[in-house]
Parts: sequence; structure tokens; C-alpha cells
Amino acid sequence: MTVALVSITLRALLNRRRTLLLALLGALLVVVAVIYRLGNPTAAESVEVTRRLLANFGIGVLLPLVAVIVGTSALGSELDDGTIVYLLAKPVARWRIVLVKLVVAWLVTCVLVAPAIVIAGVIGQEDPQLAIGYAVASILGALEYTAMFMALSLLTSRALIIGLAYVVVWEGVVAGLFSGTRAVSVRQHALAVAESFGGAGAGDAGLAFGFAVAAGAAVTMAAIALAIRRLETVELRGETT
Amino acid sequence: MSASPEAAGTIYDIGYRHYDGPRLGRRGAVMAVVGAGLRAIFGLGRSGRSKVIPWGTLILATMPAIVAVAIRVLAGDLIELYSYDSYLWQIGALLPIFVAAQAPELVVNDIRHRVLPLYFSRPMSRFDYVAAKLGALSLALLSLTLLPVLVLFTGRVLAGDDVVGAISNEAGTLPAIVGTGLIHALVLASLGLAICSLAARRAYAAGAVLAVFLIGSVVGEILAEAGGFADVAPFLNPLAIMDGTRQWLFGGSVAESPVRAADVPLALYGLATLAVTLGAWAVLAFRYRRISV
Repeated sequence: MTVALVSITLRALLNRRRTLLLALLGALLVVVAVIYRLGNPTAAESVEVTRRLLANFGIGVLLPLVAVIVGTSALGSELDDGTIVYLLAKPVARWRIVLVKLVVAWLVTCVLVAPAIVIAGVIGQEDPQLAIGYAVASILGALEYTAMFMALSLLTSRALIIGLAYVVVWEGVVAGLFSGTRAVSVRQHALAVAESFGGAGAGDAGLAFGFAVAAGAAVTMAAIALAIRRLETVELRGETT
Repeated sequence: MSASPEAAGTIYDIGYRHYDGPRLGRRGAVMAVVGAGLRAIFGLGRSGRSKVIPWGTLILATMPAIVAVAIRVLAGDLIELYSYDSYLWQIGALLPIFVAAQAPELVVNDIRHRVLPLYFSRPMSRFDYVAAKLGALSLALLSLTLLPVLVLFTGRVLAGDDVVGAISNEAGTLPAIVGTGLIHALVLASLGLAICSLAARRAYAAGAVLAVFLIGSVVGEILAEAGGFADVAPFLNPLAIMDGTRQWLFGGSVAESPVRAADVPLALYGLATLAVTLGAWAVLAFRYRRISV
């Protein structure tokens, strides 16, 4: 049953034009890195510019945009279409449905984001460690984001819009302004991870690595718990909604 | 229905009425779509939830002007918080949010629910439909691109001791204020509608609009500081293109804008603005010509 669950989720997530568009977003990151490198920048400048490219574009825009679309539609589209009832009617524990869907959404997000970050990072400058650091950060950030957005999709039917607003307003503007709000921002968590894995050129955002990982794990666990709780309290009624 | 004895073949009069009032024609139909569009954008006649983003961004956009005027009244000419030139650049983050949230309301569901035939069965062509939607979004955007600057202007005029003198002092800035507001509103509306007309669902349309503006500004900002690309950088960000056009037409540079770092003839920004707008209109024309009703 788990295999079937994985395959229907994968098919729902990948069989659309929008996957192509999301892949194009990642390709755009690589293209910018290629164009930049073709301009023959100095070594020191290329590290700084590539770091900002990976941090601001890769972690700041590409990752949340992919995660919000993939994360909200992994379970959300089944809720929208009413096909969730066929899943819930099967003898599968509901926490298992949430976990399997989350893992699939996470992996899809990683596949769409991490390779683009690695390639752009390696092309943009010499040091592979920087690229790997940001790729690791995007993989961990993807888990936190997809868990949050999956929980959101169980809370409201307009999860994608609300998730987008959250990404732009909170992650984009508010979280960068104050040190207090920085602690509760997925983007800042991911950047702290990138700095600790990314070597000398990875910069500093001001969150300790240990704190970022702990906060990220806490948010992820809370989101998963919320999602499971919401799905467990869904009642099957006579008609599909 | 109780059967009453009637001759066979009688057509019952079941009370349908003729409409004898004035027929407003094509103009009336277009104005109705503009009006309905404005109501949809500002969430009038809808739940409180759909008013949050339009009115929230409007208030956030106007707030700096009000604060600046208040400070001017209280503290006099000591501090110059915002100039007319830089105001739109300062509130720039709000413009894509407004467009992304409200432009999909206008066009996406009409296509998704296949109600366009209902529009076109009225004395209204496809061109009229697109023009009406564009007009509605542009008018709504003026509340962000023109209204706050006019508030600032009015405050400056009224705050002085000599109102008549202040009017003659500040009146010279009015063409720049109005022109900038109109350009921003029209270009943003065209670009937003063009993107939204291609999307299948409102949420995707919002995401696509945000993606275009976010990626444009992020990449533009990064490349502006990378040595060899300062000249290209502003052209990646629609807001920077419009800022360059404003500077070309009315003068006055903005410190934070990538336009200042670039060294290209300002007329190029005007050309780029024209290209973006015409490109957006071409997409709209293509999209709405292709839809079969």
C-alpha cells in the first residue's frame, strides 16, 4: 500500500505542466550563474556573488516557491478533488498517509531544487564546498517547508495563496528585519546550515547552527503532528465535498 | 400544475416581461465590466477576508506619506523622509503583492469556468473585454502608485505657513507625480494581466506574478553589484525599468535603485518599458484570440 501511495502521489505531483515550469525556475538559477561566470569575474568577487545568488535566489526564492506548490498539493489536491476519501477508506493508518506523502513531497522538492543549487554553485565559483553547503541547507529547508505547507493545506482550502503570502511577507520581508523574527524563519534556519557546511565563503546570517537545527526540527515535528492530527479528525461523510 | 380547459395549441402567458428601459450598448457593457472589476479588486460586497490584502497594501502604501506629513507638521522642515521621486521605489515591494493577489480575481475564473461566452453575447468584443479588465486593474493600481504621493503632496502644500506660495512652489512636481503614477499603474496592470491570463488557477497565477517580480528583483540586485553586469541588472527587474523611465522623463535618481549603478542612456529604460507593455498586450491578444467561445 505504501508503494501505491508513493506512486499516486508522485504521479499527481509530476504529471503536470507546472513541474516543467518549476524545473525551468531551477534552470534559470543555473543560467544566471553561467552568464555571470562568462563575464570572467575575479575569484574573490565570484565567491561573494555566487553566495548571494545561492542564498537570495536559491534558498530565498526557488526553494520556498517549489516547496509551497509541491507541499500544498501533495495532500491538498486530493482534498480539493475529493479523492482523499478513497485513501481514507483503505485500511491504512492516517499518520502513514501523511508521512508517506510528506516524504514524497520532500523528495520531489529536493530533486527540483538541490541539483540546481549544486550546479549553479559549482559553475559560479571555484570552491565546491560552498555549493554543497547550500545544497544541504536546501534539503533540510525543503523538509521544514513541505511539512509546514502540508499542515497548512489541511487547515485551509486556500493553502497555496496563504502559503505564498507567508513566503513573500514573512520570509521575504519581516524575517530579515529583526533578530527576534529571524529565529522563526525557515530561510534563516537554512542559511545557518549553509554557513556551517559551506566553508569560508559562506557568510554569516547571525543564527547559531545548533539553534537553527533545533528550531527547524521543532517546527517540522510540530507541523507533522498538526497534519496528522488534522487528517485523523477528518470524518468520512456520505457525500464527497 | 392543474390543468384548465384551454384550446389546444394555446401559448400560455406565464408573465415574462419585456425590457423597455434604455439600452446602454457597448459603452455601458464596458463600464459595467470596469465597475465589477473594481469591486472585485477591492473586495467590495465580499467577505472581510477578501478585503485584507487590497486594503492592507493600500494602507501600508499610504502610511509612509501620512507619517511624513505628520512629522513635517510637528517638526517642520527638519527631516525629509520621502521625496516624490523615491516614494514608489520605497513602497515597491507592495506593488507585486497587490497585483499578484488581485489581478487573478479579474481574469482567471472567467476562463476557468468558461463564462466568456456570457460576456461576448453582449455588445462587447474581445478587445473591449481585455481593455475593460486592464482599465479596472490600472485604476485600482493608481490607488497605490498615485494616491500616496498625492497625499504627500497635499500634506506638503497644507503644512506650510503660506499655502498659496507652497502651491506655486510644489505645482511644478505635479506632472512628474501624475505621469509616474500612470506609467507604473498601466505597466504593472498589463504585465500582471498577461501573466494571469495564461494561468489555469488563481493560486498559480498569483505564484507566477510573484515569481516574475521576486526573481527579477533578486537577480537584478545581485548582478548590480557584480562588476561587469551593472548595465544589464536594472533590465531584469520590472520595477527598476519603470524607475529608469521615470528618471528619463522627469529626472531625479533614487539611491537604492540599480538604475543609478548602471551606465546606459536613460532612453533605453523608456524603450524597455514600451517593450514590456507591448509584449504583455501581445500575450493578451494572442491568449484571448485563441480562446474559443
